[in-house]
Amino acid sequence: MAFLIRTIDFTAAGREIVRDRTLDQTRLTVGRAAENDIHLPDLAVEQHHIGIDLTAGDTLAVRALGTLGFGLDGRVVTEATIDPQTGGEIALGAARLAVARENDGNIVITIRQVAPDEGKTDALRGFALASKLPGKRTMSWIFAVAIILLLLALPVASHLLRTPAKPDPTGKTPGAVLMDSAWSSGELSLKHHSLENNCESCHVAAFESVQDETCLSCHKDIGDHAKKPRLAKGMPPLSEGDALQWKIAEGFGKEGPLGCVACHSEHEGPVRTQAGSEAFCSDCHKDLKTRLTDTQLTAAHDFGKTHPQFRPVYFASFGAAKPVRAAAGSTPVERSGLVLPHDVHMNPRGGAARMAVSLAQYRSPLECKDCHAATADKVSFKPVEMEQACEACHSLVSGRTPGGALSKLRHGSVKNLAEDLARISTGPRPRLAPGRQRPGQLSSASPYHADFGRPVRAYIGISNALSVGGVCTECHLPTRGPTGQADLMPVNFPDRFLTSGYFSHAAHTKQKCTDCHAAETSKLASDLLMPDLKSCRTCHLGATAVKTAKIVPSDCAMCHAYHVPSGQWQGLKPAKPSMPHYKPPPEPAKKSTVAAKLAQVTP
Amino acid sequence: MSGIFKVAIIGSGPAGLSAAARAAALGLSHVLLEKTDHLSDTIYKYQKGKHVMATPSNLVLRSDIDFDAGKRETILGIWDEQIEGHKVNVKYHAEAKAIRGTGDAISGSVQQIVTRARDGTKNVTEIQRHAPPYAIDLTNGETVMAENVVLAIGTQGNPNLMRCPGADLPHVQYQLDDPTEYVDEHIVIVGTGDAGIENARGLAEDPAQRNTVSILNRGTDFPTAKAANVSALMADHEAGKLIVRTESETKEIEPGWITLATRDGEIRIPCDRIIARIGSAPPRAFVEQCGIEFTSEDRGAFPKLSPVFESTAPGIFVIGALAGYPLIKHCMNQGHDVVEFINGNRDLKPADEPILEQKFAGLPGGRSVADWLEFLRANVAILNGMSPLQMREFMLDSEVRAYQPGEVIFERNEPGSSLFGIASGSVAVEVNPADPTFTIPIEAGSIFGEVGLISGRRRGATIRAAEDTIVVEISRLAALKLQSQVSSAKAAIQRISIERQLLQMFGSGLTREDVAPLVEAARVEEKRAGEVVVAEGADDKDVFIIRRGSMVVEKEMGGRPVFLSYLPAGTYFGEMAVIDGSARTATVKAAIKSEVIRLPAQGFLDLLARKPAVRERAMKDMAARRATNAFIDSRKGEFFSAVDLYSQTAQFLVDNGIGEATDVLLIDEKLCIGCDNCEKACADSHDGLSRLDREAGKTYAHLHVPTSCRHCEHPHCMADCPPNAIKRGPDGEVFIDETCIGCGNCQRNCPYGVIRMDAKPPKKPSLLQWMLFGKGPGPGEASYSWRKKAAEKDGGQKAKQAIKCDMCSGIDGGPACVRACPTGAAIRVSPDKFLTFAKLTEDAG
Amino acid sequence: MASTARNRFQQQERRRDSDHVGFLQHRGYRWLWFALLLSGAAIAGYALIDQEPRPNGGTWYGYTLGTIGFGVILWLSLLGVRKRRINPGAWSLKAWTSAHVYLGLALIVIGTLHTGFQIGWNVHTLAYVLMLLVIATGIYGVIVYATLPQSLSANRKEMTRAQMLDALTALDRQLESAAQPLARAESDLVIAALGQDVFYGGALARLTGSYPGCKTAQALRGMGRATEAETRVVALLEKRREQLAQIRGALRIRALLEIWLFIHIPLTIALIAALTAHVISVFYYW
Repeated sequence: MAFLIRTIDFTAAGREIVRDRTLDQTRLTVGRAAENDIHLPDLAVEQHHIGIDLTAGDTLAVRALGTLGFGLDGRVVTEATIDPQTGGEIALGAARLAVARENDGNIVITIRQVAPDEGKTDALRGFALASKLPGKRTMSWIFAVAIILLLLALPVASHLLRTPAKPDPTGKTPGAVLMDSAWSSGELSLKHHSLENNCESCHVAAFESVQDETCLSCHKDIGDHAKKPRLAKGMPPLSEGDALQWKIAEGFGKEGPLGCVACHSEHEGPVRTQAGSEAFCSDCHKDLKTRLTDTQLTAAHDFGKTHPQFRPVYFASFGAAKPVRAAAGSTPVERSGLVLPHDVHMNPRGGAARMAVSLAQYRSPLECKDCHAATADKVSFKPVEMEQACEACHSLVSGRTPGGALSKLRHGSVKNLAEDLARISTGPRPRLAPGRQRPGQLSSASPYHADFGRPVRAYIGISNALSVGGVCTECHLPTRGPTGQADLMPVNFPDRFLTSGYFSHAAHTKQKCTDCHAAETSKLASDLLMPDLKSCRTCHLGATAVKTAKIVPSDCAMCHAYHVPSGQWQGLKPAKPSMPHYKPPPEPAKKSTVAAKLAQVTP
Repeated sequence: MSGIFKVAIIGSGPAGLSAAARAAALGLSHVLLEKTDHLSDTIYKYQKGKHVMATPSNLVLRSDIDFDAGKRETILGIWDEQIEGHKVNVKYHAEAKAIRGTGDAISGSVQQIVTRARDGTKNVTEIQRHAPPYAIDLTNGETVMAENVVLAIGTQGNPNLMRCPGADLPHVQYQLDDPTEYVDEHIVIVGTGDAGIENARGLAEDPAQRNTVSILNRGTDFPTAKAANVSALMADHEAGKLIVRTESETKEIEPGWITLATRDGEIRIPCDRIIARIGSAPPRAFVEQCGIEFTSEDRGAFPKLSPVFESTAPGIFVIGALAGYPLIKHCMNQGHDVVEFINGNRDLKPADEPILEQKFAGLPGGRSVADWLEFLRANVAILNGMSPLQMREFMLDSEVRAYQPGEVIFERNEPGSSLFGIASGSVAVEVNPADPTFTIPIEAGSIFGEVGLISGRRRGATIRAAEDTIVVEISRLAALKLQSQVSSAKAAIQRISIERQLLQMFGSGLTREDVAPLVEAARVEEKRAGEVVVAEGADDKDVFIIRRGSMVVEKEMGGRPVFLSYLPAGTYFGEMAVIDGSARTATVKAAIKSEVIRLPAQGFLDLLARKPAVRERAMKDMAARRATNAFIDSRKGEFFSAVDLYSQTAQFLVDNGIGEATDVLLIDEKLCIGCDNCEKACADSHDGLSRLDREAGKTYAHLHVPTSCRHCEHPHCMADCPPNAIKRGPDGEVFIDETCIGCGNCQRNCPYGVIRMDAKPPKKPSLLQWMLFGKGPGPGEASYSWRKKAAEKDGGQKAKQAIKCDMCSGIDGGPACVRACPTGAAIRVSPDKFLTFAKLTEDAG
Repeated sequence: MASTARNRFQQQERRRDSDHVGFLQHRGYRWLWFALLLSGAAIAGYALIDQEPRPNGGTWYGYTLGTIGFGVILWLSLLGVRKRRINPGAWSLKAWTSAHVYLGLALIVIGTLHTGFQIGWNVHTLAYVLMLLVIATGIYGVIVYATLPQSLSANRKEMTRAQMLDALTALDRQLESAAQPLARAESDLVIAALGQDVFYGGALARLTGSYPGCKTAQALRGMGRATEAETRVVALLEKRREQLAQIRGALRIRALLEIWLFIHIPLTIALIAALTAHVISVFYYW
């Protein structure tokens, strides 16, 4: 058994020189030192680098003689066994010793020099996953550009270049800005839902918060709660956080905490705008005087606890031009100009009742509704009309017409009355028998008598009617006109007694009128039958009160609106009936508790 | 008899030639005596075509004949014709035999000649000096008379001989005339001076000769050789023409073989011829006979000379190699100067004056350069042996500084391998870090900082000037040179270092007197890596101090050795056995090639007996170690696995060179995600090339030692750096500065393969450009292809240079590799802190 | 021990102890605590501060959270730069990673509270969802970083990637010569095996580690065991397959370690884009 050492070199010209030598021994040493069997003049090689022994098992035991290891098939080892059958490659410095077995059984060790390629490290980049995936940078660019273009550049550009679309409550006109729906932080409230795809109807100018004028362009008849300066003065101080936010926001042109959007925050989902909570009102009203020293409004924060006595509006003197507000706690004496003892009419055994029973139109004792009819909104009542409400009993029949029907005195104007009475006294008499007359003889029924006879009953009738005990004074107060002639006191009622609150009779159908209005006991028309705070409180307590069968927790908004229609004190009719203010008490889910929030997120 | 010359110049070497030329130029009556038939025999004897160096380059040549680096032939040619030109009176075949003063005896001027026989006995003869004129007796019987004699005979007189067994064999020679005459031989050159290097190179020059040339270097540095020679040698070494064996010495010589002691143990290699070029001593006998006194009795000592080169014999001047100065340039300057002096030009300053002046500029006292040199030489003990000329040379790579009282000279734990000598004043050593008030004084004349010089460890104590003090800082290389030149200095340094080590051993309470006997008895021993110093169970009783290198302590447990602890240089061991007389409790062996100081047990015991305080201290230390052992022992019971792991990990780390490391990068592969960010960071912090290879290197128990610099205590890479470009920085880092010539020695010398040779790649596009547009190769080391392309774009690859870890010195925040590790896998540790049970089990377990 | 050793001990103790923990435990979980504190504070604030009319990004608290979140996201995304820009500065990437992980997790809380739980098909929710995706991938990253490195090191068996490739080329050289005596069909198999790229296979193959089209395996299947040459080739092919297995093992683990970044980073950039759109749009339509 021998080793065949085959050294393969290349001349500068590239010619291959193969030198073979056979070493007939079982041990080889390889190293830089000349005395080695295989001498490798390479500094990377130790003097005596490795020893190769031919073992009994016909394999080669290779081990490093020094501290440095050697490369075997790419691994750096200090000891190894090579089976010549499969072979192996030993790396020492730049030399590669390929071990293999010749067919004649000899072991060939072929020595080659490999040129060191410094670029090898580059191949390592293949280990990085990056070599198999789209680059992070590319993806980043794609994503970023897509988002910026689609969700920022596009809307902004189209907003700058558009011809603004008109705000259109009907929702027929879509906005001209593209893709800005992606900016909407939530659906609009029910009332505004029609504007859903027309952002610019509210968001008019870029980087400008929604302006009040924009709101008012539709909500024209919204009255101010009070004049801005007074509101500002009356407002409680803001929390630091809010104060700061507003400071900044106002710096950017947002209208302060009195602007519409301050309270009416939109994009909160398709819900109805909720009226302010009791706290919302009481923030200011519980101690308004401390800030707004000249206000007449007394402190109010909880209907059950702190709420001023009602102060109805009424006419304190006959024929006054303006009604007056009752002083708190006073018993107002109303000068309506009527004579109307409610007790007489309401007494179920009284004459009025009997008469009503006898009349086909009633057939039962009188009730409130026989005279009083509620207005459409069930807030107040229509004026009582004599013809419908009173005439059944208080008849004005004055005789029969030639046609045979009953003739009536007309109601409402003294002048008409006077005419009607006069007609009664001059009416032609029917003939008793066919009259025969000599020529030249004047009959009593001739126009002559009527025209030239002296006045008799007619004149007496009108003065009787207007004077005390006369037919008119059953209900009206007699008085004298400017020229001293007999006349009646004009009837004078306010349109509404409680003006700054709203009361829905519809919501109180369970109650009888007399539960609140003391009509049965009222003997005089001068009694003002408005219920007082106490009577309301029997059922209504503050928002914080516990709801029972009887007790209704009532926050401010149940009776009061924030935006009162303008000019309430003047022309006594509201421009348009405000929405019914009765609303169910807020359900707890709306409260902003963490628990609630979590409850929402956790699926 | 041709009358009396004004000046006779003996020896026509560069010095002699220059002197003669000057004399001729000045028109002095002169004669140049040359023993051969040609000028400048030394250089003449150089190999044909040898390249002659002109160092030091910063020194201006001041001579009437030209000299510049070049081929031997050219130089000799120039000199011949210029000597012609100057009409120098040359007398060939004139070998001086003796020089006698013919004037009347100079009273009280008696020359003592001490001759020392091999057996150590010495006999003293006395010679009465006589005034000039001198009679120079030539071997051919003639006599030349001269008022002044300039001795420029060089040192070829008697080369130093080898002293190992077999040194007297015929195939050991001290001279190589024609390297081309030897073929097909295994030749070993001993000594890495210029001569040795040139011989080696000459022999290996032509591959056709098939010589296997090895050159031996006792140490790892080349202190006595010219830089250019060294680099040329390494170039050949690299080219595989010859083999440089550093840290190896001849142990034995037999016909056909030589046995070398090397760092990795002894090796025996075939050797047909040994050429010893281990320097030469001056032809002392002759010189002394002339009435010239030497600085010391050392073989290496040089004549006592005045700053004007005048010897103790009035009118006899000594210059050149004989005066202790081997460099041609200096010799020629001296030749020029000495004649000027003789001619009465006394205030002529040597050529290197400006360089030195500048060095002494800042110092108080306003002495002249000459005075300063003398001042230092006279006051610093280890420098006494030097001649003014050597002092000049020596000062060129040393520094002198003045310190105010209390001013810090160096701080504890500051790295530094330079040696300090106290010229005046004294310094205080703060031996106890806890209380700086306790100090040990070191008086004028003595040295300090030797521990740093020897062990390569950080400074052991803070040293302040105790009063107004002037110290000379001797760079490591200068110190090595000094030791190789002035053997007395070497001895002194060794003695002091041992003494200090002893004093430091127990911190305080000892005086030099206490330890004096021990110091005398102490022996310094070299230990090879893995060599057992103390064997467990043995009952030898000596105490050891680790002078350099480091040791590991092992103990047999359950049949296998368990690593107990790691002992860095400066620690002592073996005291237990001495104190309690027990057998050795553990085995101590060298982790790397180390030096230990062996203290005989008896002396140590005496010391303890005399100093109870020290005994206390020793007991305390002992207790501490016992505790460690006991701890390991106890652990063994519960979780042997942990102990195993610890022991094996420690062993693994020591095997991977942690033993000699000062700061090594480890990677905890339980955390390493292989992102190579450490390498990238490294490349980006160091002009685009990574100095560490994360993956390469060994791993044990998920603790990975990557291929990156360990900043060894005695860096192998520093061993032979021709331009001296490898230095140790302020943070203890070993770094290569820009003067690297790319010879690749360090790469070869580093046993851990952490140094790579590569060209600095061109600048990369900014990071932003890469992040946004993928411009350039991105962070980290650019791919080879990119570097190649980019380099070609801006004009060709730069020259390859050696690059290695510099611990990111000067970079805020320290090593980038550690800082840039996202997971905290990369750590930098030092062995004596890290090789502890707690650490290793924590990290590896 | 001698004083030198003790000094060095003291001198380097701090640095070493602080250094030698993973990024998760960095400085005794400093950033974990910080993140917990932040989230806690955010939740408390959300619960306690009454935000009129309802909590969402538009209240002052919402803006605060939004600003914090935005700031944190930008800062966290800077890790990518920091990682590649080692100097100047005395910072440690480990600390950054630690902070990155924990603050990133804290973003879940901050971001969610900022939304006020109002989710819709809009750019705002897009940003939110992107953020959650980024964090999700990040969590995957933390998990693999914590678990896989051991196997990576185990798979390496002290071989560097370069050595693995070398090993393969060495085997290939031998195969080349060993295959000389083979017949056409067999040698074609060998050629195919040698011809195939080491890194053959797509990302999926890497992640799963299954390479159905591996020519080496096919060659092994197709190769006869009749002649001695064939057995030798088979032996070499076996070696080659093992070597490939190791390389592919490394590929797989690395892929698992890296894959998430290919989502994490692009989505981060997308997130930043979306955030920009979000912030601008909110004030554009104020």
